[in-house]
Amino acid sequence: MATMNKLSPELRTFLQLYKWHEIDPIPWAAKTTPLSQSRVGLVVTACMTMADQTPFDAGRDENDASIRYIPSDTDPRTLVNTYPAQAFDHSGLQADPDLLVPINRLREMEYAGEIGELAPRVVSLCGHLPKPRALIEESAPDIARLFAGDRVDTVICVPA
Amino acid sequence: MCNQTVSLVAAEVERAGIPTTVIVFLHEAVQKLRPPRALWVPFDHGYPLGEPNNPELQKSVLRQTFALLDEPGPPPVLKDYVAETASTGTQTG
Repeated sequence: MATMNKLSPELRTFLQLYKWHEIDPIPWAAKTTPLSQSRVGLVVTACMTMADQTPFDAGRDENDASIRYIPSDTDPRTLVNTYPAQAFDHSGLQADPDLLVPINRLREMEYAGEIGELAPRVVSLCGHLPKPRALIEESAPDIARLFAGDRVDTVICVPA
Repeated sequence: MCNQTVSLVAAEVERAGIPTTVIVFLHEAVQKLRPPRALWVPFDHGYPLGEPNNPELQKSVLRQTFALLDEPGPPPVLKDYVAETASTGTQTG
């Protein structure tokens, strides 16, 4: 089990005292399409952008809930990590971006027939949002509309 | 904090009628957050799919995350990643 023990003392203390946002009631949408026929949406939260996109501003009151849409035919190795803080160890990401942006892994699963296909756009966020109001009120509804418009059947979210 | 961000996004997407499944790190946080479906992974922050340049491990995590979509509920469906042995493909816990 992952624990808070390996986090920095400052971040560990912050998280232990933090009041997490309880989801209540819990929404539930049943799977209706077999995964092998599903268009899969991907959400990642490592502050990754394309080289020509505006960098995230994770230092902006720790509340940059903006979204970057990344075409899913993008090579993850060309993405730029704009996360300035050291909330997580970036060495794995530098060695293999699929560790946090698994476009190639999902393509392999698509070619193997395990999923239907990867949706045309990947949603990229900065995950460090201790004040999630803008995420809840603006960005998350935008993401839901995007996936509905892209006729996505199911969504997988990968944290950093 | 990413545990909360992916959980809140998943909840909103789920409200739109699209099933979701998320990877998370922290039991303490996710038991309070209560996303619809989540797989706890025994890896450090920055390593949600396990190891760099280990595509089989990465796909194993993805497969177990997707497998939560077959759970009947009720939510939250919260499970731990179970390591697979390379030689047999069986799960060892």
